[in-house]
Amino acid sequence: MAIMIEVLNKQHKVIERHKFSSARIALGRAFDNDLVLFDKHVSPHHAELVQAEDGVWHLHDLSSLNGSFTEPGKPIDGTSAVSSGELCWLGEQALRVFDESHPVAPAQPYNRIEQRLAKFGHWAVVSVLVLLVLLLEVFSLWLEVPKQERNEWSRLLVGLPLMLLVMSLWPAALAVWARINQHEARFFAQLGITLACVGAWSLIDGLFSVLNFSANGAGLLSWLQEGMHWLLLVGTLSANFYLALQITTLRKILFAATIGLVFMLQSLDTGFLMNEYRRMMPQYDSSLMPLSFYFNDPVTQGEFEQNSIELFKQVDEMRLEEAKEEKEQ
Amino acid sequence: MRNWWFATILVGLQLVISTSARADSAEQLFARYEPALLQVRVLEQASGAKAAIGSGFVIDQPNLLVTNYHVVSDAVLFPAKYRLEYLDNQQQKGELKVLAVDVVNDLALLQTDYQPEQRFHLEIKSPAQGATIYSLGNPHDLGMIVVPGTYNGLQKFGYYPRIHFTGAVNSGMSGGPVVDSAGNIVGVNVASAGNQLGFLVPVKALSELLARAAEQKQLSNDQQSIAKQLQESQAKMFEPILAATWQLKEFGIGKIPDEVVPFVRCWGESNVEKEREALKQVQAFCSQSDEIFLSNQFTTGRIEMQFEWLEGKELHPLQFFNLYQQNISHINADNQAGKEDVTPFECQHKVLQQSNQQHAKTIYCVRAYRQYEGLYDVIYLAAALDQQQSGLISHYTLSGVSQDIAQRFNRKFTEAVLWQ
Repeated sequence: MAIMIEVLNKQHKVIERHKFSSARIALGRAFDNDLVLFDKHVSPHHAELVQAEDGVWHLHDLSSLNGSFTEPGKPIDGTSAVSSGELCWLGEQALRVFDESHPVAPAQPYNRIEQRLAKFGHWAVVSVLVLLVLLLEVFSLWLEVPKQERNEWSRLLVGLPLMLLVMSLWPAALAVWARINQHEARFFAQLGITLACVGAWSLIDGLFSVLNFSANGAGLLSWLQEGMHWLLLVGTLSANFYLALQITTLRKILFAATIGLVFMLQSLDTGFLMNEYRRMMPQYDSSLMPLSFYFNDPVTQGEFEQNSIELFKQVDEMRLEEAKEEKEQ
Repeated sequence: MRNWWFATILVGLQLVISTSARADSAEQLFARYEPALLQVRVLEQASGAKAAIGSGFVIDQPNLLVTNYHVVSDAVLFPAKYRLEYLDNQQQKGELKVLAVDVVNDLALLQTDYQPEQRFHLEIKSPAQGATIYSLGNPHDLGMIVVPGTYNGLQKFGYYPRIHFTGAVNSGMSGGPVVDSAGNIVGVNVASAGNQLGFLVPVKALSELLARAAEQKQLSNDQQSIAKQLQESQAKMFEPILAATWQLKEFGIGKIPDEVVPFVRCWGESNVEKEREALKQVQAFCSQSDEIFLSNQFTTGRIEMQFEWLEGKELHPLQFFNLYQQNISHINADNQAGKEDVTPFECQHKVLQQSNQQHAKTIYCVRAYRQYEGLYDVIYLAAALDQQQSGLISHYTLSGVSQDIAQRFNRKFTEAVLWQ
């Protein structure tokens, strides 16, 4: 009966898989072995796998320098039985041995989400997204240009490739991580997802600055904006992990949501720390746009005055409330 | 023998009268009045250590000591935490109690059991400009000193009356008396603006406070009384501003008010001559040079106005408005205040349609004074929106005003600043 031998790396991920039909398999670093191993701590003729008459396989240590193991920490004394699916070690080189009849896991259906996400890696999608992100960046540089010297344009544009490089660090890290875990790297898909997030973030900000201007700085909008940022961040991280990690979908989303939450809490926390200082500064919306961007009704001087009476009432209430709280304390 | 005495007195008199003998005069004044000068100390109850020091003087009314409000403010505002003590020229200590304060003129009347042989007398008539007057006090806790200087009349552009004294007034001398060569009180040391530039509270304010204290016959050092003083002071200050016909001057493509009242003075700045600047800016700031001290972190009683005209003829409207926006993103109150003093600002944003159909984005923020009911700080900013490549920012802050005055001022201001 034939035997399968998997050569594993330190993380017990399969790096090679061999099938042998003989009843005696020589293992070691020497080239005359049946399975030639690479690990430098493996002896040239390290061990043998031998099938007994009853069909059971045995590991024979050939007086190797670093010993052979079927249980960690206990070098085998001469010979030891190995059953299908179990690990054994030559020195620190791990191997897993399977019978031909050993059952294998059922086939995985294609994951539709994963397939869709992988489409972000299509060259056309990545190119369009790169272009979008570049355009948005050029636009914001263009808005700021008058503040700089005019000939600064070229200097500002030189920064663009660097910006793209920095943006590709995250997808690169994810790809390396996936690769280490014996998974597809999918760098371009990760890059596409990351760029889409950056683009969407800027577009959300742009949309909200118009909305803010028209809504006269309503507080609800800034919460909505924060919420959308959070959703975008969690969505992007979930997609990133979907492609890079081999864990259940629920875990991927939980993982992404946790990281997103940590980021958001961090920003809330700094906001809270700054609060004492900010409390003394007027908090207002300074957005200014040409009148054609204003989609609300302007107020008259009389309405303005009516509204301002409300402000005085509000601060009076605040004053009384806090005085009451102080008294209670 | 009798003649000899007579001669001595004559010589003495001549010395006092003679203006050329300034040093002798200062020496004599000091010798005569030193017993009536006290160091006023604010002590922290828990540690018993000095938290602030100043000077004070005993006047010729029973048991009354005068100093600055800002010297004793901690003890007025936080009586549980601070107490007052005096130190006389014999290094004797005694208790002090605040009877009445005048925050607008930075004066405090204190009750004392200290009974010097010599006391200061109030002189209501003003000396001539250039007359030598003598400032007395204890600078930096170094001991009582006398500083001869010159009386230069009332400070010209201030709202709160202060005598301009050419002489060194250093910290610790605050609350000390300034006397003429006959020893009559002319004013009270209050502030310094550096090199030989000192400011004194005129004696008139002190005699008014004395009259008020005598009339009321009760303590007037509480929050209500301070709030009332602030209310009265701001009502009086805004009366001429609201009544005046504001003189307008051309400013960019609009008109803005010029110096409305003498105590709000304007300065300007621009970059129109710089060809390389894509954004031309013309700025005018109007503000008041003086303010009312309420505590070490809380001042009030100021008006400030700012105008800025921007133009970027070569800029795209979006570029222009991006820069325009940055110019309005840092407005803040003009006065100092801590979180125990005021509520946070509440702001509203509206696009306002003016009577001439022009539009402006307005930001209006209000905060209330916690201890002084009915007083507010107000910030207003309007940015004109109708032009694509030029803008006008008009902005004012008021501190320590009532709601009524804030609203009347706003009406006056928005009527004055109009686009053409």
